[in-house]
Amino acid sequence: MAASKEPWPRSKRPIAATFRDHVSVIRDSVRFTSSRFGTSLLVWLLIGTAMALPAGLYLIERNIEVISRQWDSLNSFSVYFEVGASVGDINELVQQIRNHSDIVTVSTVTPEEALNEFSSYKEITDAMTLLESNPLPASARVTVDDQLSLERLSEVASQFEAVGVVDEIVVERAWLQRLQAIGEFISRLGWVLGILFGAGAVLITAASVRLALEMRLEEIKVLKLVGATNAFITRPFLYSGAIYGLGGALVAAMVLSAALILLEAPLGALWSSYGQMVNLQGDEPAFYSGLGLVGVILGVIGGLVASNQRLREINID
Amino acid sequence: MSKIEFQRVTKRFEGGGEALKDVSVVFPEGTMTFLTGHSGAGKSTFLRLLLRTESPTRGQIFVNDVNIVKLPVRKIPAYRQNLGAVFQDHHLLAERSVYENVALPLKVAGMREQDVARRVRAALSRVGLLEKERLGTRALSTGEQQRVGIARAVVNRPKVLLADEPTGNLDPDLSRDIMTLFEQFNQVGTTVIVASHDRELIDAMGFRIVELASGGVIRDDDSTNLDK
Repeated sequence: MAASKEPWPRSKRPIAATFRDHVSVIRDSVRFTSSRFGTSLLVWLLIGTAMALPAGLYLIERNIEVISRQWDSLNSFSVYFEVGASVGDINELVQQIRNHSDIVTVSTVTPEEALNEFSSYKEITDAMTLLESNPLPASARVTVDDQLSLERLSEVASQFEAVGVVDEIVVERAWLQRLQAIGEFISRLGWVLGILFGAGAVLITAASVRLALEMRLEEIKVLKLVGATNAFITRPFLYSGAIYGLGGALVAAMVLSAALILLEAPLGALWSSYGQMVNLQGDEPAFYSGLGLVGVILGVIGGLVASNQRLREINID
Repeated sequence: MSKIEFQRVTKRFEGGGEALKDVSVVFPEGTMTFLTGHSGAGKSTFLRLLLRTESPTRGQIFVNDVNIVKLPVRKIPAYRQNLGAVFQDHHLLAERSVYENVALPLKVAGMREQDVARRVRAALSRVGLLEKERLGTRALSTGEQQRVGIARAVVNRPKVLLADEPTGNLDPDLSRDIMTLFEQFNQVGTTVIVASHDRELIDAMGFRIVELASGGVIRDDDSTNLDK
C-alpha cells in the first residue's frame, strides 16, 4: 500500500483566525499572570533585579563615554598661579602662553571671579563669609589643538610649570583617560554580568512558565489528543514568558529611573565645579524601549526552554 | 470514510509483556466494530496505536491506505484532527464551559468563530446538551460529561471515531443511549471502533465484535481476520 499521498493535509489557518487566536491567547495569559499576582510580582522583581544591574552598568559606561567626549573636545589644561602673584606677572605669562603655536585659547580667572563663582554655591556661601581674605588664586584655562596627543599636551603644559608665578598645572586629560579605562572595564563587566544575569532571567522565567505548564498539564494532553501542534500548545506559555520578561523590564526601568533621579543632582554639582553641564544619559524612550524588548526576548526564550523541554516529556494516554 | 488495517502488529512495553501479539485485523470503511476482552487484553493499546500516542514494536497500521506507523511526528497533529476519540474518564477541561470543551478541536483547526458556534451547537444538540452549553463541566452528571466528550469527538466530523470504554461508569440505560449515539454517527458513514468489556451491551447492539485476549485476537465476526 502506498504512503505517498497526503490524506491529512495541515489545515490552512486564515490570517484573521491566527490574529484572533493570538489576541485571545494574550488575553488568557494576562488573566493567568494577574490571577496569580503574588507569584507574578515575585517573578517580576527577580527578573527586574537581574536586568537592572547590567542595564545600570551599561548606563554608567554610556555616561562616562559622553563625559569623556565633552571633555575631549576641550582638550585643555589649567594653570593655577601663586596666591598673591602680581597682575603684571600673570599677564606676562598669559601672553607667553598665547604665543605658543599649540595653544588655541587662554581665558583667565581672577581671584575675585573665582571667589564669586565659589560663593554662588549655596552649600559653601556661609563658609565663605567667615574668610577674612580671598584664599583663591588666579588661574588660566588653556585650550590646545584638538589633534594634540596627551604626551604633547603634558609637554606643552610642563613648559610653563617652572615659571615663578605658576603654582600648579593640572592636565584634565590624565584622569579623563583613567575614567575612560574605568568605562571600558565597566563595559566589559556589564557584558559579563549581562550574560550571567540574562541567563538568570531566562531560568527564572523558565521555572515560572514550567509551573504554569504543570498547572495546565491536563489541558495540554487534551489539546494533543485533538490534534493541536506543539506551536499551538506552546503559544500561551511564550506569551506568559513575554509578560514575565516585560514586567521584569518595567521593574528594572523603575529602579534605574530612581537611581538616575537620585544621582543627577550630586553629579550636576560635581560637574559644574569643573565648568561642565551634566546631562545624564538613560532617561530617553529608546533606552526603555530597548530594555523592554530585551525583557520580552529573555522571557520568550525562558518560555521556549520550559515548554520545549516539558512537551517532550508529556506522554498522552 | 476510512478503512483501517492492522498488519501483524505487536506492541511490547519496556519492562512489561506484550500488550498486542501479531494482530492482523481490517475495519472496512463506514463500519462499526466492538473491541472487547477482559481488562489487560490489549483494547486500550489497540486504540492508542490508532491515535498514534503509541507506536507498535512491529507491524504496520494503515488508515486510509497510509501507514501511520511511518507518519512523521510533524504530521501527527493533522492526522489526529481527522479522528474523534472518546475516553472513559472523558478528558474534559474542568475550568472550561461545555461549549469551550466542545469547541476545542475546531479552534485547534483554526475555524472561524461563526462556524465554530454553528458546529458546536449542532454537536451539543445531537447529544442533547444544547441547553447546558454555558455550564462548567463539573456541574454535569457523569453521563452528561460523557456526552460532552462525544460531542467534542464528533464536532470536527471525523472519518474515524474511537471510543475507549465510553460506558465504563454509566448505568445500563445511559450506556444504551451512548451506544445509540455511536450507531447514529456510524449511519452517516463514520468508521466507529468502540472498546468495551460490557459483553451484554455489545451483544445486544448486533455489530461486529473483535475479541482480544492476552494481546491476540480470539474472536472476530469477520472470519477473514481471525489469527491463524
